[in-house]
Amino acid sequence: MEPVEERALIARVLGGDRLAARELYDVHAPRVHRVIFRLVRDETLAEEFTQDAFVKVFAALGTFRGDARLGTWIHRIAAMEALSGLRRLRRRSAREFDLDLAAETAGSDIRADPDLAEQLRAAIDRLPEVFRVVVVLHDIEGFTHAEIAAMTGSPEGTCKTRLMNGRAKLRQALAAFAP
Amino acid sequence: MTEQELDELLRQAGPEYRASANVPLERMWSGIEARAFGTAVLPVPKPKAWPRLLALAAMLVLGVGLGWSAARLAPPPAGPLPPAVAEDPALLPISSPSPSPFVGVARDYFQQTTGLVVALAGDLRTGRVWPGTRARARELLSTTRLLLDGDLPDPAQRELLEDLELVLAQVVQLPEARQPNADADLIVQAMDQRDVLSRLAVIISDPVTAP
Repeated sequence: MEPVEERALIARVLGGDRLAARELYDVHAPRVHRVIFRLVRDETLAEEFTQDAFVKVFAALGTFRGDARLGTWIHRIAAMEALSGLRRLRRRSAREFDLDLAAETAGSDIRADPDLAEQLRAAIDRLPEVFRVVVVLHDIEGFTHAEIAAMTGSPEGTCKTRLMNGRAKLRQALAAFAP
Repeated sequence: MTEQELDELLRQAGPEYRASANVPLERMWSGIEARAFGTAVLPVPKPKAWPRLLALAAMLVLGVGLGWSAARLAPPPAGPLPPAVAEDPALLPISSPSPSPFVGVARDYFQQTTGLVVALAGDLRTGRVWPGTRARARELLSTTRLLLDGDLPDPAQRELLEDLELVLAQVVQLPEARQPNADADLIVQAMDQRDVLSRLAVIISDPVTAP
């Protein structure tokens, strides 16, 4: 969607046009849901956090200054929502979360399964969160470092360093599968 | 595995990573429409976070102040400490050298961050943030990331640092001439939901990292 179209759509939403709100949602929701699902790895949570993110988007749309593209702004809110929601849940039930994660990854031993896609999934899932978020957003979702910096509130240099470290860990984890 | 091989693997298999086949667009929209526009369900007014945040900030200031006063008023030990006390770092006098360089950096960091967060809690309520807050938050954000990229032995401290990173990143992005708006509300909400002030109070009362 072109910036001019975006501005017109935002103006209609702010004017109370419910169809315009639905149009904005239809344009951005599929990718927002996909990104959140890849960050939180749970369908129920992805649905909940996507709804929370869009409620905030519509509540704060009047403050959108147009410094960045609307999509970047929406994904920044969505990423914040997903990451803070995850941390909130992890604190609430740290033990259960760890057990769930351990059970989930225990069944996907990298050396036991020859399917590379499955190995990649397991290796990404095992990355520490700070690295996993950047790898998913950059290497899987194709966001630029500038976009990731805007979404996570981190400087571009930090994003690049974290991507480099995350990829190094992936290469190490997948070394046995090098051709 | 080389960088090129990893790139190729990500190109081929990356799109399959956690690819959700089902995006419940209609179901999500029903919930969003009801909450954002109040069609089906009346919006539930959320309790203001300000009073609780300010009360916590006041308690934190009081706690730190009492701690400092107690440290100044406490008489120095009359003689050499018994061996059992001398060997326990938690029981050493507060002027003792830190057990590691990390503890010293972390102690200063948590002290300074507490000061910023306590002041911010009051500033956000009035909508007039002190002009140096963003620059200070940027400095502390850099330290947060340095600490996060290091090997933190304590998972509770790592989680607190991750939450402080999000809060400080939001503070850094506050525009000048702040007026109360959605950005400020998001910061207040983040501080409230993550119990930032309470957890800072626990950390700075820890005998190892406390001032």
